[in-house]
Amino acid sequence: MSATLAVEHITVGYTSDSAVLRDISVVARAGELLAVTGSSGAGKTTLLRAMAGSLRPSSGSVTMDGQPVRDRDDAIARRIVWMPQHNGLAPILTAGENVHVILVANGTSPDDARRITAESLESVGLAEQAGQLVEELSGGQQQRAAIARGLALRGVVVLADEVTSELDAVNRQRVLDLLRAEARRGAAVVLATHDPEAAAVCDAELHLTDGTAELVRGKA
Amino acid sequence: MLRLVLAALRYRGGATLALFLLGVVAVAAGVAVPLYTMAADRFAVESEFRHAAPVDRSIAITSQTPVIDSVEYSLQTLVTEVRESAPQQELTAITGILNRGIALDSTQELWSASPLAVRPGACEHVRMTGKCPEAANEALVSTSTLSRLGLSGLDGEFRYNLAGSPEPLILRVVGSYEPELNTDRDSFWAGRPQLVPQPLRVANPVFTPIQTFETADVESIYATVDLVITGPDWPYEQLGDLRIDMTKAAAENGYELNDGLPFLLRNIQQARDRLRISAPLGAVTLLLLALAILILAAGHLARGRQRENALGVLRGTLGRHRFFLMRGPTLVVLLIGAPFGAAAGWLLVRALTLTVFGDEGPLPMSWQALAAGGVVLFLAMVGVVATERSRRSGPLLEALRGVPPRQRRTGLILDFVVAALALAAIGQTLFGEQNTTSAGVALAAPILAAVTLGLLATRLVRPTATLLGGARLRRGRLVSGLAAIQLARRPGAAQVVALVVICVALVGLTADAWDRTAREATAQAVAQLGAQQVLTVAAESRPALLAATHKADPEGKWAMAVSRARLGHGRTMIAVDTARLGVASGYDTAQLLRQLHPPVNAPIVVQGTGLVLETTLLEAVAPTPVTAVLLGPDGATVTATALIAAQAGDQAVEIPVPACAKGCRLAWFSFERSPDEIQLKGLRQSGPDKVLLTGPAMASAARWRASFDLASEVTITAKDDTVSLRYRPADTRRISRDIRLQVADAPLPLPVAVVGPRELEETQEMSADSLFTGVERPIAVVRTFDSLAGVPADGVLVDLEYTDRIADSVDNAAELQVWLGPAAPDDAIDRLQAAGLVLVRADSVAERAARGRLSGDGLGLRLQLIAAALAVALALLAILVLADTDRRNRVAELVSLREQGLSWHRVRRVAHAGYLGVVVAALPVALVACAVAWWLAKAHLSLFSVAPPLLATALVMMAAAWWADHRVARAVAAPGLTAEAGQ
Ligand SMILES: Nc1ncnc2c1ncn2[C@@H]1O[C@H](COP(=O)(O)OP(=O)(O)OP(=O)(O)O)[C@@H](O)[C@H]1O
Ligand SMILES: [Mg+2]
Repeated sequence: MSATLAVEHITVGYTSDSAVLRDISVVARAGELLAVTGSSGAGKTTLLRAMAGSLRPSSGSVTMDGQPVRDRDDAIARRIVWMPQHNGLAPILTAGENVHVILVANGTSPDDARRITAESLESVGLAEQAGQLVEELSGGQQQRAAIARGLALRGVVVLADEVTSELDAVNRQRVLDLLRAEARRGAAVVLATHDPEAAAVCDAELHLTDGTAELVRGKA
Repeated sequence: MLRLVLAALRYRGGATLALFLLGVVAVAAGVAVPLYTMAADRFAVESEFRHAAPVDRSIAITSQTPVIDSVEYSLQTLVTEVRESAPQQELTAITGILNRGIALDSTQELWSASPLAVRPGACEHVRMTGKCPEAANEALVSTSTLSRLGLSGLDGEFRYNLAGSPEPLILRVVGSYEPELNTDRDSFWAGRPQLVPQPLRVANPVFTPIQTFETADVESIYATVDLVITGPDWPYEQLGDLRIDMTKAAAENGYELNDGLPFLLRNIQQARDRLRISAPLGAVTLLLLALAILILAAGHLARGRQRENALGVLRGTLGRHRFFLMRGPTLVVLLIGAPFGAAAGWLLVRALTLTVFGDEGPLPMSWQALAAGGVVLFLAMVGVVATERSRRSGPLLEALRGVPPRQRRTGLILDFVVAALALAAIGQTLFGEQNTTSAGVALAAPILAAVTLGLLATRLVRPTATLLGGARLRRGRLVSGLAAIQLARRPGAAQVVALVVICVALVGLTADAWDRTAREATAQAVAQLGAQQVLTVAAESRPALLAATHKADPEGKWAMAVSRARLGHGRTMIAVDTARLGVASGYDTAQLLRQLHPPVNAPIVVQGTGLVLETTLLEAVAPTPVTAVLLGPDGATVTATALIAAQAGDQAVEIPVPACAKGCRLAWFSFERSPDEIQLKGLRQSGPDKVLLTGPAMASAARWRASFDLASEVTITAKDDTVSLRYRPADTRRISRDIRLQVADAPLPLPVAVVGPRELEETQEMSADSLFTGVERPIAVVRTFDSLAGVPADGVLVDLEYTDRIADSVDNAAELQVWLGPAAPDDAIDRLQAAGLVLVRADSVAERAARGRLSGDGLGLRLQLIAAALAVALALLAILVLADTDRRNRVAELVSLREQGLSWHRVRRVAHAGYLGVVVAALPVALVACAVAWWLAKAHLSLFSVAPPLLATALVMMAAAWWADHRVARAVAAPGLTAEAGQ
């Protein structure tokens, strides 16, 4: 279950006339952690959305194992897991329900989903908070719940957008360890961050400035 | 600052619009309630006034006034005197003269007891042929009087014996008249039975100008001053004082006072009271609902803004500015909406008065209405500020994250208060006195119960749905699980449940109350009218009425003759053809017949062309005329006079009665003076000859009686097979020239059935009454009822035939009716007219019920109806507002679920199960609340009348919810999520 997500010369933006990113190419490989860095507004989220199939590039392509990623539904089917920047948790659900619902929605049986939910919340240190509503969690707890949900899905590609921004050092390390574990499991992990320390633990780093990208570390 | 506020308004356009509408509706309700209540009150008064009998709308003053200088002067003096105690402009004074007397033809054999009346303007109130009398001794005579007197056409002359005047008048007929058909409703006549011209009535008044009296050399006249209330806009509060003043003046000056004003006053008061009880309830329901919904919606808008506010705090925006940012938008919207609301409220009431009351008169905006609107606006603003403050006071971080506040203690207190109120009201309904049957009042407890259940549902819906939703999710049922969880945790979902429950219950209750009012109005109409259809008719006499109904309906299956008359002390008498009481429902005719129509002396029936009176004169006197009064087979009066010759000894006096070949009932013999020396020995008829009474039968004391008005002055002696009578006037100034030997063929005392307590049968409380007219006659209560058909509250039921026989009069001044039962044929009216009756008016239960629905409870209920309709409209708006403020969050939530892999068709179903799910979940609770409310309201529940409005309510609510959900679904539906959705 190892795969490669390749971004080839994409130009992407939110309106047709202006592009946020121009002619960007990068490859996320199975077993590796790729950091996407850049100042705020540089386009990290935009790139991850394009990789997640949620934003269609105006030119160039996003492919997984040579097959283009058509849209988000297609990406989901091909197990491209996306942890969005602001968690994307449903506020009316509890932390546990958020994980459980998405697991079942992705085809896990209810029984397995229950077990996996408990495990993944445990792994981010939220075993106690499983029954709490999202809005009753602290910002960092919400972030960890979103990570737990992403990890529970055991994706082929894991796109994590600023998942450590609200965490203390201990928890940040725990999350980074978990992402590393994902890579070790064989997933291609992409981590958007402006935290240099987080970027440092990655195998490669793509730096975005003014809509262009530069691979500052790792192989192209 | 204003720019900031306006920007904030624009930001949530839909919700702002809805809030605006809610504000408009709330203020409109506030304005409409007093406006409608006032309009309804006016309508109720007007309607009572319009339907009041003329006698109830006037004070009739009669005074025997000496003529000093001129008749005119005497009249003027009286009017001035009366006006001193009744100066009100709203009272029109109709001044005239009404003198008793007898009109006689030239032979002096044909007569009519028509009063001689002076009444300026009378010519305009009858259908006249010829001209209106202007000069002395000119007369306007009714056609029925003319034909009785044997006068045909105009320019005839007749003699008029004015009571109390020695010299007869010779009057010349210059015009003849027919009464207008609605004459008994014409207040011009002030409800004076002697004066009101009636079709077929022989004793209709003879009208003459005042000059006749001026030249007639009379010592005194019976002057009449009738104070008539001409329009409904009368300061009824003054009536009490006016009556006291008038009564005092009457006692001081010796007037005879006759008025039905207390009846009118009582009816108006009752109508107003019932309105006062029932109207505010609907109004208060509506107002409270409008306010509650408004505040609820405002609260949600504020929640939408709490993030902005929190950001404001962070950025250090001035408190004052934040105040405007937070509350400004809502308050501005409410303020802008207020004038529209006032206008809408006015329009609503205008539409109602036009359609319901048919009242096109002006509808001025009253200050009470504006004040009520202002109060509602103020309450709304205070409520909004208070809710927004509570929204704002939470922790800053939670506000930033958009965390909804937990259940507050104030909410629980509110629930508790409502529940306590409901319990109190329920207790009152279940165990309190059952003396009020008002549908309006009966609604209070059920409505409160429904509100309580609604609030209870709000409390229960959350835990239940959470449990259920959690269970569904655990079993992998995502759609139903998420739907249940939405119901549990969506902000406002619980309130929507409460709204649906309250609205549905309100609609159900109102529908039932509406239905019930209709049924009660029908029942009341039946009780008031007495029968399915009641015809007011004119007939020559009461026996003529009886005869005509028997002719039209020989088997007695559908028509019953009834005569109504107002008695003293507020009672109304109905004299009926007792054997036909089956036409009115609910009587044991056979028993009543035994009680009210016991066997008595057989009437003396002449079936020949002459009546022979065998007499003995003890000594020679002047020839004495004797008049026989009989009633013909069709109820026509037959009178004939013969002279008893002067010589002493036996003498058979033949009185020719050619009209009696088919049979007449002898009513009385009348002598002009006391026949002291005449002994009556026997009674025969001629052509064919037949002995009617002789010997002991003739001389039986029980066979004869004196007329009631001379009962103490006339002595009847029956002995030695002869009867004689002697008249000794008690007051030599008032000497009667109508000394009667009446045939006793009716029970005395007259048996009556009355509405009242059983004790009336034992006590002597009701032992005499004047019945149709004149002095009191002995009566005996033989039966009591809780209610009598046609006279439910204050009735006296008597047998028409017997009561007529002791009326000592052939006049028909009382109101004559024919009651038609359900078996009446379609051409019933035609048949009755063919039998000789003149139709004056027809009243049916249906019409009367329709009128009943427009009075008291019915009027109040209309407000309740509007309250229910508006409550539904408001609830719809509230659902839309909630949905609108919540939409952004729902879309974001569903989009992120989709982004994480929840498939589109599931997301769509979850979206569609949003508010629709809430409404659908609320419906069973609503039905339970409805059932409880019905039970408390002791509803009769005709499915036919309650099901359609309930169904409609449920459907529109579901439709609104569906639409709100559909908008969410559409926003989430962006194909493949290739672009940011939901923003
Ligand atoms: N939904 C959107 N519509 C239009 N423009 C957008 C949208 N989202 C982002 N942008 C623009 O795209 C550019 C890149 O945004 P992006 O969110 O990718 O930045 P980022 O690097 O993730 O920043 P941050 O570190 O703050 O998360 C920004 O200039 C932003 O204004
Ligand atoms: Mg970003």
